[in-house]
Amino acid sequence: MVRQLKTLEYTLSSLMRRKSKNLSLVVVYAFTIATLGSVLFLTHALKVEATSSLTEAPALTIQKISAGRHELIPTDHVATIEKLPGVKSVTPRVWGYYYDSLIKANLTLSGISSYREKLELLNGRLPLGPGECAIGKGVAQAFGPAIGDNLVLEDSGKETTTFKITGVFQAESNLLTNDLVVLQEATLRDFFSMDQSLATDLIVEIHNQREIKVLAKKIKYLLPDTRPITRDEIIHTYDSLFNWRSGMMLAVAIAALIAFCILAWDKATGISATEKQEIGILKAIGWETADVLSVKFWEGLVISLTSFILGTLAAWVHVFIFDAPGLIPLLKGWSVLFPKFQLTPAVDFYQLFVLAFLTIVPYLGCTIIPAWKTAVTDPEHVMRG
Amino acid sequence: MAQLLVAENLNKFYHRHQPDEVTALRNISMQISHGEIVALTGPSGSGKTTLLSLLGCMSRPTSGSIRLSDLTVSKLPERFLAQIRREKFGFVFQQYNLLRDVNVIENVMLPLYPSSQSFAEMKKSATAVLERFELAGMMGKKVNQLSGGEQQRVAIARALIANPEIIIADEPTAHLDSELSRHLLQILAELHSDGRTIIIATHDPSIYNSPLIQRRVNLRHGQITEDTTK
Amino acid sequence: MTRGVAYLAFILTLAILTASLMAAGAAKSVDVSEKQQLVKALGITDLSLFSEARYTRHPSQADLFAPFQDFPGALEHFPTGSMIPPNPIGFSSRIRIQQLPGN
Repeated sequence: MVRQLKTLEYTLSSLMRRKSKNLSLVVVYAFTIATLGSVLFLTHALKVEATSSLTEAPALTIQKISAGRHELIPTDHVATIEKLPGVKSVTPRVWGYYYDSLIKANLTLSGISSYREKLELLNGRLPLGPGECAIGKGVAQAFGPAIGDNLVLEDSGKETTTFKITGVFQAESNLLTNDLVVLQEATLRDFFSMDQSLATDLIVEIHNQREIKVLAKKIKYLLPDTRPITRDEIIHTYDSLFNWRSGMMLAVAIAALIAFCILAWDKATGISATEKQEIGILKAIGWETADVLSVKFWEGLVISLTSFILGTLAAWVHVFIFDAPGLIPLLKGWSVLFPKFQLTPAVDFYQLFVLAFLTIVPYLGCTIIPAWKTAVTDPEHVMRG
Repeated sequence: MAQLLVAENLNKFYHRHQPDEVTALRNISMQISHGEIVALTGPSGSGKTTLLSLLGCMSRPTSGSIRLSDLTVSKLPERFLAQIRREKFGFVFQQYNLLRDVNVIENVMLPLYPSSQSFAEMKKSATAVLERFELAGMMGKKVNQLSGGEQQRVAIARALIANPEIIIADEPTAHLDSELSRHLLQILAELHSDGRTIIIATHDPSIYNSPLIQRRVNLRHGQITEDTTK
Repeated sequence: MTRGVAYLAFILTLAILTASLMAAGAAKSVDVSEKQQLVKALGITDLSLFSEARYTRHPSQADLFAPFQDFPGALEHFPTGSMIPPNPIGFSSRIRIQQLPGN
């Protein structure tokens, strides 16, 4: 213990001697960790966000597939599915997109039929009549209206339709409602000129949640041109949405890791003449190879541990306090209506551990191995100056 | 007097079995007794430094053996050699070999880091030995702010901190003027009167001709040409 | 020994600070019931994160062709496009080969 503390003492004084070099090393290292950590924190928090709220997504969504593409589904199917044992309800749903060519934003238009309860995350109320709508915060911010104003959309017949805004979703729900325009289902059907006999898809609710899969199979058997999407599959989609192979992770992670490897490689190959001399002197005056290596081990540990902790702290502050200003532009892509969201802090400790393992261990190796190569030689050469 | 260091048939080659093989020492046998003060002399390249490093357990002979108080050190693994260097020897180098941007007291404490002493004890021993060489006032100074003579004294203080039996000095006066060389001789005399064995490699006549030196071993082309005791 | 102790104290404080921040965030049981109510009421199936194309706006609902057809400029090069792996759920069609004898 005393000996380890003494070694640490020597290590720190030796690190202090090369203050500027080691400080810049810590800065670069911590920056790498902060970048990778931010990506991990952000994607994990999004995942948690999705998987926790989408547990209430429709148990089954039934689409019609024609020529490999999603097509409008005949409402006749409702009766067929309703007859299946275990089915609680089948609701035809109407939803679609609306493109605004001025600000180049895509809105999602969604119809509701009968929901009348008060929504906690909605200021105002849901549309009750044909001339009313509720909009997401993103839409409100992009176009500037407030409750009571009118939203004017051009329908597919090039005629303008006016909707009174009766509600605006609160910012906390941005991740779910940002680009939404909610209308009465009949209104939306009118607006899209969609025939009564068709719907965008069907929502099926089920009595026993354990039967979802079985029912999906049955529906697929009875109606071979449909595609049943289960709630579990939706959640699973989000669970694997930001995996390590996905674009941002790959782009950011690889860039950061390559930069880090260059740094580590430079360090590994570049044990300086002064350092060699120092190792020789220490050995000559009676340090064992193990003593030299334990100093180098501590050196690597001090640098990598300090950097790792500083980096993760920075990443946490970046993502959960400042809402990831460094990553949002990457995430945003070409989206015009990108939600402003405040993420609930969630950390995947397993990922963090992997990150620690993948950065600290190689760095320790890069510090110790070249020192070891120097330290195992006879100290005699230092006598020759 | 009992033999402290016994070398038998030492050979040392560098780059063995390679085109640039160098024979540094050939068939060296010698004994050094307790409390002796020996000068190794000879032109540069004659093998003085190589012999010193073998006797000081810094490297191992290609063949032959070295015994230190009946322990055959030439066969020991590196770990034990380091321990022996730490406990039995004090080294004074031609280039001083101090860590240049480290302060004086930390330089002097260096040999004690691998020991079991606590940091406070290390500081105490370092302060004591620095006081002995009138260096107490510059403990906090960086080595590169000191003059050559002061650096040499720091190097000697470092050599003495573990209270070694044997002092090994390689060309200790190479960078000193005659005044400082005389001072160094005084220090060596003191160390000798403490009962320490001293081995100096030098080609400075003012050292090997001084009355302090009892024995002179002359080397040439890696072989002993002369071994005289006054 | 002051430097060593000071460093250990520093790194320990930092580690505890980071760990407690994370733990506090993880332990903060957020009430998701309001969001769940919203999801249920509106039949939401996807996060409203990326609105540039159908298959990024509704990744769980898009069909297999969506990435290639929805938006004329939607080449597979925008960042979110590369972030969302193709995930064709709910499809069960298979290719089978019948090898005829004597062929």
